[in-house]
Amino acid sequence: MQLPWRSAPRAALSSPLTVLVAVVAALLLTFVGAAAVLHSDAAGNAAAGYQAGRLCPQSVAPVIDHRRVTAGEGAAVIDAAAAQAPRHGFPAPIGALYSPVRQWTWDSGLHPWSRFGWREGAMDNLTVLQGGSRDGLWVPRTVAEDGDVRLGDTVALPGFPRVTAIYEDLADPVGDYWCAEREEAVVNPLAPDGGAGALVLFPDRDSFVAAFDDIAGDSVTVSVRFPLERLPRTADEGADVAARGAAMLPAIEAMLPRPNMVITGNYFATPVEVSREAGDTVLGAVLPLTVVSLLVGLAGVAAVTVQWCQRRRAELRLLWARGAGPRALGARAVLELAAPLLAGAVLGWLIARLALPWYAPSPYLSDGTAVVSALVATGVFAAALLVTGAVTVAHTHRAFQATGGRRRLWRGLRYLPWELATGVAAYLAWARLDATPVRMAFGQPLPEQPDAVGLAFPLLVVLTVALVAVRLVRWGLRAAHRLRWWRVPAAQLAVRRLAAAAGSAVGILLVGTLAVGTLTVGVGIATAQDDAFDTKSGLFVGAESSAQISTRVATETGLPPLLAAQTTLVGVLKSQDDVILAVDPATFADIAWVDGDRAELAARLARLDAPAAGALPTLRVGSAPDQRVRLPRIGDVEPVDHLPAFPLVGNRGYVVSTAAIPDPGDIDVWQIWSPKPVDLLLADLDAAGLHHLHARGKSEALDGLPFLTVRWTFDFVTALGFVLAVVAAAALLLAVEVRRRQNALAGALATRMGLRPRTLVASHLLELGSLAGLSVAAGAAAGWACTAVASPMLDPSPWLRPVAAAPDLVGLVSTTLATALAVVALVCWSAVRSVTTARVGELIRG
Amino acid sequence: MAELLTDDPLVTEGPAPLFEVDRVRVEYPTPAGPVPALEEVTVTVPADGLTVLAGPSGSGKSTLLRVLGLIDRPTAGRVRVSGRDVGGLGHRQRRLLRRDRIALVVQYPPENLIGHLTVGQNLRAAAESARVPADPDAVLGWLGIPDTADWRVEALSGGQQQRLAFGCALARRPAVVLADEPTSQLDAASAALVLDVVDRLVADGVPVVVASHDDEVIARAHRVVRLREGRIEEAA
Repeated sequence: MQLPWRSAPRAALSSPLTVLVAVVAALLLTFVGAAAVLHSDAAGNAAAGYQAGRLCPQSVAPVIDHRRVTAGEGAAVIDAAAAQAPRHGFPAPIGALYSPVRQWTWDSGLHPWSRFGWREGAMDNLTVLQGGSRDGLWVPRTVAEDGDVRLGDTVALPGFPRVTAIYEDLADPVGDYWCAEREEAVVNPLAPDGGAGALVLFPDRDSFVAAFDDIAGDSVTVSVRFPLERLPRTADEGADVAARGAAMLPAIEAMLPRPNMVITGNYFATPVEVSREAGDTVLGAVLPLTVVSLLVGLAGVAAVTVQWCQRRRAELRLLWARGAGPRALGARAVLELAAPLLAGAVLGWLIARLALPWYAPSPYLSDGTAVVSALVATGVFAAALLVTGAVTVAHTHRAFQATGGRRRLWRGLRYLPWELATGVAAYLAWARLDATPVRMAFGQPLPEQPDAVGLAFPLLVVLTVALVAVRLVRWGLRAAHRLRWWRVPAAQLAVRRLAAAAGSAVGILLVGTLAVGTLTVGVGIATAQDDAFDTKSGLFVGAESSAQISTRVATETGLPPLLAAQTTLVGVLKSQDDVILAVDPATFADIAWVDGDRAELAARLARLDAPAAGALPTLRVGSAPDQRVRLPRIGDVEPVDHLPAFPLVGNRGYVVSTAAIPDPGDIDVWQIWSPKPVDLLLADLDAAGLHHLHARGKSEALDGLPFLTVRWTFDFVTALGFVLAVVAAAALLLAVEVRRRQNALAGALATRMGLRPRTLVASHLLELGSLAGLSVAAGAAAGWACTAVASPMLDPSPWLRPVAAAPDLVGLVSTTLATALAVVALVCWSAVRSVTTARVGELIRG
Repeated sequence: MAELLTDDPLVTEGPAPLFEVDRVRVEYPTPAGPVPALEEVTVTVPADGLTVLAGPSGSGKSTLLRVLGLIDRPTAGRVRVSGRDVGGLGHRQRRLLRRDRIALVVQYPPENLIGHLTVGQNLRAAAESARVPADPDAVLGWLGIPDTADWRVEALSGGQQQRLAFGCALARRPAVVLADEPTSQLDAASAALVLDVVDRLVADGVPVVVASHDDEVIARAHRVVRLREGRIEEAA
């Protein structure tokens, strides 16, 4: 290897700016490649975490249940599970045995409904009200009150110990220990039979078996749970749990005295598959966008290489004149730029890995994903080297060897209507998206695999708009020499400067428009999905939170004043086709989840109190018949208004006023709705002494995974947009820096000839600001249009109103514009400073 | 310096022509259409002495020099180098010819040198490019700038850089040195020193072809080919 090639790596140090730009280009390029891999894997893991979070922690691992065993058989099941659990990597299981619910007669002679049971560690997870010795029965408050049970009492059956503690009833929401046993342990305070389901605890398993082996026969329920020390954080961890569970359950069954004695469940196996599918969906969806971004990044590397060729032109010509061919010169470029590109690639991968919590939906990765991302980063780095070499080969061949005809052919490429090609591709992508929108399939937990080509639609539109903008600006700049704007010297100077560096200008415009458009699409569609899910959840629950309460509150007692001011009572009646709500027009609009104008809804509801001849005035919802109808237990209703959707009702039903219904006692269920989170609502209810059931909050009412999958996809699009924005800003700075000498000389001479500094500043602001402004305008317009078109198509559940729609993007566009102006101001300051500090003599001398 | 010079047959053949240019035409594409830079140029350059291509700006002397240096291809006509027709040669063969036979010195001194290498490294790189052994100290002594091998190129004056450019040409042991306006960027004293180097090259048997309108250069020429508006005006 000859000296100029051997010394090439060191030669890179002669131009810190080129080194910096090469480092940044490789950094962004490898970040995009590596982040695509990491993000999609993290999305799968986030899906696993999301689903694990929706399950009781003790239901994530396999579970064992059965209701038809004897107490002795139940104990055998627990022993078998305890024997097998450590062999399959599970901690010691929590076994439980429950008797049937019956009216057991206590010493008081009363016989309230209850069940007896035993669960490993149960006494550590209860609130003791009286007593507390662990060698006797523990009775819930409801049973103690209904049966007049006191410490020392017992049930008049052999083997039953005496009561040693009275504990507070278990009520919703229960903690992690009890949530898997909710059906057996939580008291239903609204049930007519009082303490039905209340659990009287035996002190240990042996005493329970001894007491119930004879009297309960085979009607004992056994339950075994395997609490994990840590819930699965990745799909791989979840798959491992599911696989170990699948191996353990048959081993346990093989130890049991008879076949089919228990029912086993491995509930996390399906979520694991769903998580993997979610990861694949996100990967498939971001792939086209990633490829386009990588191509843009490689184009950036090509631009850096062209700049390098121009800076090293004299040396390249010298080496070529001495006999070196374009391929050798390509190798020269690779040898010089490889080190900064490698440094950038390593940094890009490191940032992609370390910044995972900030841009990905989960900070956890599956085993091997980091290695795969490193391999992708290596491939991207190799591609960058290849582009560097190839561009240098092409550039030097064109500069030194090509004939005129071939040069014309090369130049002719810029006249090809690329925007027409991308426009056709965008139309085809839209057609694909229209034909196969993102939809939930019946019985499937996730939308069907989105069509990758279809998901490329937004970016293809943005790309087309960017190319059209570039074409128009290129034509405009070519014709700019005809402009005579010397009355506005700043504008004339700005236009001339742009025209003199038309290549850089349109390059910045292209990347800038792509960046703003991609950011707008990413934020727009992700926000649209969020809003749609939020609204659908709100309409599904009715308010931020709700809980069922006793009918007596509606019919007799009413709400305590504190609650009455902060909540609203809603009666729910379901007929065959419709959901009928009885609402309080005075408070409903302020409390319920309203997608729109609360005052307008309040005004509409006020009409429900107006008398109607022979019928109750009703608000018709969605597709409910627009005519007088007879509703069960309500009577005839006459629609006086119509809304397309209504909280809890959804798309079909009627709303009447609570004051107008004949008898509130005829309503099936009364709920209390609150604008507060469910925890606070329940605290308020408990404080007011109101029993409640079926409490639910808006945030956990619906399975959000389908929406999250689409959202995670477009979160990555946002990240790509951010990367492109950094590229655009760097390109703007670089474009000024590479012309620093010419700008400084021209500006310094012009100011010495009388150009006012203010005009010079204005010319730079106009030059750079027009590029930034056009990028923001074109990108934002394209992005908003794409968001408006694509959002409904990407709604996984369009049958739940409202369908996703483009959100208000004024804030985003304003922020983008402000950031662009800040970048323009910074670059302008740099350009003007180079003029004010220039030494004209040195500049002229060169 | 005789030991540094090649025993290439092109040099030792004496009066045999080094370049034979026969009715060469060169056109440059412009937005207004092709513009002829050379028209029907026929000239023979012998393999000895200093040949100067003279003429005013735009006369075509630099274009003719680039045709001789196998940098540009003529639009029409024939060029022979040591009797070999180079018109049909591909890029690779032309590069090999340039590598082995021709050294080129251009007008602007820094463009003849590699800026990030030292003076000595530049001489070594030049020799390596032609696959010949390098002796930077001997060349620097011959150029009259000894003990500068470790200097950065920037540390040399413009005249010293141009002399070093001829030193690099010499280090490549070429069959001919082509120089395009080698003194146009220098003051008179520096130009004189550069021309002294050219004289010594010629004296040592290296044929030199210079494109120049500098009277001082023309005065030292063994033969002068005058061009005007792309045509040979006089060959003497």
